[in-house]
Amino acid sequence: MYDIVEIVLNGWLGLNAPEWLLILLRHVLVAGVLFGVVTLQFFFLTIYERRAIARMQDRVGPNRAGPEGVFQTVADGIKMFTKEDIIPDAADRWVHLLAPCVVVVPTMLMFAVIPWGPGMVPVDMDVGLLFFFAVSSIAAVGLMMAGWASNNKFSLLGAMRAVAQMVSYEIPAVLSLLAIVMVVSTATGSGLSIVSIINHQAGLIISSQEVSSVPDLGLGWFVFTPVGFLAFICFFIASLAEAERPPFDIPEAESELVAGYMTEYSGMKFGLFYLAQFTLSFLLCAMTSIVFFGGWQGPGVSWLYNQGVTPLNPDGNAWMNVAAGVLGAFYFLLKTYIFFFVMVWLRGAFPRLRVDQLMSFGWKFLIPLTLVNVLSAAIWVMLTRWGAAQGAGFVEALGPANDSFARWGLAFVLTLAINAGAYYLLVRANAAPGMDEYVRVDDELEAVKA
Amino acid sequence: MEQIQIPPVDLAVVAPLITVVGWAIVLLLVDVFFVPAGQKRITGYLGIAGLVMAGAVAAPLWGSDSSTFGGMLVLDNFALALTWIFLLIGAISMVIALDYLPRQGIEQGEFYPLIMFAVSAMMLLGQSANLIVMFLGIELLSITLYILTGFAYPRLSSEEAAMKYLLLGAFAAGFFVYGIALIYGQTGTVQLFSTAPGQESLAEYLGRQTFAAVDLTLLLVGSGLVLVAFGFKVALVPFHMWTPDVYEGAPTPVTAFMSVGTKGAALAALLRLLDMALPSLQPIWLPVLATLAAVTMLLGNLGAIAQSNVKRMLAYSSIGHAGYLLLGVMTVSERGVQGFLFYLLAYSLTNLGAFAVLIALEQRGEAAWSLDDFAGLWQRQPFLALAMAVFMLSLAGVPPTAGFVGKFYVFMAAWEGGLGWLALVGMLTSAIAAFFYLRVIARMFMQEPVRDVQPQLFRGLTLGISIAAAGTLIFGILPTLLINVVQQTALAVGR
Amino acid sequence: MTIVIQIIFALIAMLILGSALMMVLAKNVIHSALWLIASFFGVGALYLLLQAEFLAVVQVLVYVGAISILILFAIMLTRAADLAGETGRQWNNRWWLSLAVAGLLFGALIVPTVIGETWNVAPTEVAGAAAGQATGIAGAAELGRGFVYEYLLQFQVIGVLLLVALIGAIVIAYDETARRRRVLTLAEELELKKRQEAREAKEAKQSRKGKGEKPLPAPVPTDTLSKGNEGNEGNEGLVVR
Repeated sequence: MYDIVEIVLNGWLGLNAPEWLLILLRHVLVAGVLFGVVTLQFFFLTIYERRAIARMQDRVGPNRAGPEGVFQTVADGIKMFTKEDIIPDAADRWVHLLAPCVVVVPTMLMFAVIPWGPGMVPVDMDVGLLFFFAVSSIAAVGLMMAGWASNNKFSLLGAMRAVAQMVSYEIPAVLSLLAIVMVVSTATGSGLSIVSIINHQAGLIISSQEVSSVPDLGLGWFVFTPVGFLAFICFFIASLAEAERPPFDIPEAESELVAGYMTEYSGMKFGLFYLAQFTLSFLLCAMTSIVFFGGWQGPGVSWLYNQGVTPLNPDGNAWMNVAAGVLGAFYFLLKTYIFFFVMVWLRGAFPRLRVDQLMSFGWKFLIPLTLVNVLSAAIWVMLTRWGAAQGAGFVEALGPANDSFARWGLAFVLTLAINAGAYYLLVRANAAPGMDEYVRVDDELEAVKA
Repeated sequence: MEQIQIPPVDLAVVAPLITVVGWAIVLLLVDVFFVPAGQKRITGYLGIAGLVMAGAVAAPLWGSDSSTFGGMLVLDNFALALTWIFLLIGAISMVIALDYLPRQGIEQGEFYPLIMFAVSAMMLLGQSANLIVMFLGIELLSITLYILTGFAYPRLSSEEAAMKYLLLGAFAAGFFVYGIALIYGQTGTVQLFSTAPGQESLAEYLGRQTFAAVDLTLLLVGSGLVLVAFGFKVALVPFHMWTPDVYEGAPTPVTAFMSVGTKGAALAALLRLLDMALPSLQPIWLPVLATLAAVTMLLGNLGAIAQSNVKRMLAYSSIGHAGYLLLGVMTVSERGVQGFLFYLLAYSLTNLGAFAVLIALEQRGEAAWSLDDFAGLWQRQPFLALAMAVFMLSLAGVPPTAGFVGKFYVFMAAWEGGLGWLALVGMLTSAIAAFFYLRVIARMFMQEPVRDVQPQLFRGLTLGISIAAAGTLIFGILPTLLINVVQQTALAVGR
Repeated sequence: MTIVIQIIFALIAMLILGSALMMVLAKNVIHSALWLIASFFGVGALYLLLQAEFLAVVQVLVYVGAISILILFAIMLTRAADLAGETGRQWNNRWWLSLAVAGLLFGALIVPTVIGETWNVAPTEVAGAAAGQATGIAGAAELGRGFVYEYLLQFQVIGVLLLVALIGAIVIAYDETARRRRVLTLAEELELKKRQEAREAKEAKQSRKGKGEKPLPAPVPTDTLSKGNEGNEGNEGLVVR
């Protein structure tokens, strides 16, 4: 993009613009494109969800505005814009006004590190994954502001619930990603970069970074390893809670809290919260597909990309880049939409959890499980990568590091056993106590009262 | 991709430390899964066993002078002597807590591992030769003590004490960090002294400078801030405000533990900092510290006179004793170091014993700490009265007790260090202090009981009091036993 | 390029200082907390300007995402009056004293650091001398390596410290049924005290009648509830109240 800007400004127009202006323009352009894409995504996902959930509930769903109702979101948008913007008398005006902005801006910022295809990433940060989560945690402040400024008990309760939920479920989400980061870091030295996580997932079932003789079909996804599979399940559940999707939509439980922290918002401010929610859901689905399903990785993408113009191959065919980009973006969006469909599906299938169930599930089940998974990841790294230099000479008997099916197989079996055992133990430990236990606690409480 | 190396660690240096920390972590699990509720004293026995074990592990290391972790941790006789003192403090605190906790209805097994963590933090402070490690040691010790202070949680006074301690402690931690930042800004190192040739350290840096040539403002301001932080932890006088309330509110075994442990550990760290990293700056810091010590001795002892609550009185007296300990710290000499160690041991035994007597008087939920409660103790419990008399005499510094020898030692160190006036202040304040210590004795032996106090003596408590009293007397009558050991702790002062 | 960076720096510095000032001056305590968050954010931006990406991201993650939320929760759960915006000023009558102390500290700490040009910072050199490995500490990978090599001891001690803090939180907050039975609540404690006083008054009345020997009174509890009526009259100035 920088090159294009430079060619247009300095070459064609002969403006001789300084470097900082070029960099600035480049980022503004990318950001502009992204804003357009985000809006389109939002339009599409709203209609997608409404039609899908309608089908599950044996309804038709919105089908009047445009062919098959595709312009329904546009109609809704016009409605939102023209509605009266109500600020309650007792509200804190400025905080009430700022809250939706503080919620929406981080979700937009998070797009900065999402790669859409090979070489198609707005900013390839060294700490991209961490950036993603750091920025997403800012939204919690916005929710708190919204809940407090409305001066309404439903809003405040909703905000408290939302923030407690976000903070609690951030831990399993980050811990499950930590396992992946460990594996990638040992291979490349920069496991927090989203691009290197995607690059690690080339191969066929087995990552070609771990056994280099595997053909590169773009299918060496993490989800095929026991470590990655467990991390995927935990991360997806945690992201449901982060995005306040059912069955974790406790903060805005209609039957208890009207609409949670959004109760006192109307017009476009309400629309902004809505936008933020859908965008966050999309982003978390995208992150799931990137980290565990290879993002744009898929058969053919890397072959096409290698024919095109790359740093290694400066005189390749530029059309191959375009083709690789289109194919990569197609794979990426396909995976993302499938996950979004799963989210909708869960909404149609499960009732809402209670607050205490939510908390104990997060703290007593997900967090221990992800911690065990981190241990598994360490064992995985040791078995696939270490050698005598790290004091693990015994694994070298099986074969050389990074190129041995035997070592990979041993790692697979061992981590599978550990993870399955941990799952079994945690399910047993978290099983509901029998009636005797309830009676005993009741008796104790009675005794205390007396 | 660069592979990660495993750093070389000399395990002997950290053996006692690892024993205590490892034992405490295992004990936490054992306590949760194997010790039934209501019998948590089993955890206490195991904890004491762990401390004894650590002491045994440390025994063969006597005489070694080594360091590890790039010189951040050192092990010399000074550190080892401190280690044993801290282990003793921890063990006695646990012994006197065995019966106290169930009687107060605050028995939870985590108490004993927490004490062990605090002991390990104290040991870390005694061994550290690096400002960052020192800071972490102080933080670990402080956080453990905040928890222990608030251990009797539903009791308001305990809660209040924990809160006050936490707020002021956090403030002090801020001072410490800022001080380290400034020191690092000037010198580019946080290591106190070099343990290997060519290693950069504060002592090394100062050795290269001549005073006129370099502007040492940053280093001085930084050291001043660190000193303020130490002042908070040790309760030197301008920074002592929290002490009476916290000591009164905390559960009594915890008060006993922290009144001796925190002071000992923090002062030992300060001693290493002053005597081994900054001895060449002595002309600058000595007047400041001498003033602090004088004010501390005076105000601590004067404050104690006004108290009719014995627990508060002991809190004020502990402020005064911090001043005496400081005498040994600031004279950069072997005598000072030896005096510091001797005084610390004597004071620890005495103070732990005195608080143990308070525990015996403390009935369930109601404290019996006023002077009136002590009246006529001789008639009710002769053993307690006699023991208390020994402790009071030792605190006052009357001859046949360890307290006297300790005071003698540090005053002599001060005198030899050219601080004659300070030694005089010390003697004067000791005379003042004798008033309120002897007042307790007079009440116990010469008055009829005025309140219905039923002191309760259990086996653990009796044992704790006996050990403390015996130690106080033995080291008072035969100080050479201890002096011979202490004299081997030749810290390479001013290296 | 430098002038652009300086302009950006000036903007960020203004954001940090302005929001810090507003935090102190805001009348509503929630507004103060929100200004504090803005200030945290500015510090993160400053790190980014220094090209310490990892530090910047962690600053946002820890301070903006976690600590500020903790502060907001703490305010909302404790200060009901402030939530309604009813208390006016955040400062008390001694604000001039705080101002003087703050000014003095600022003068004593910041001025020498700014004026004294004797900064002797060479982290790469020093760390390298200690461990025979010269690396600047800025990125995630370098930090990670430092944790398991040069700063292994500190890393372990911090681990123990966090464990202790965790246990402490549980020990203090965990309300066991069995424990509740043995420890009195505040209401029960007050009730007990009331009964005790009633009994004492009755006994006093009886003794005034002059019948029988006076029994010894029970020891006076020196708990907070009754503190102040003994022990510390003579030295109010020394005691933090």
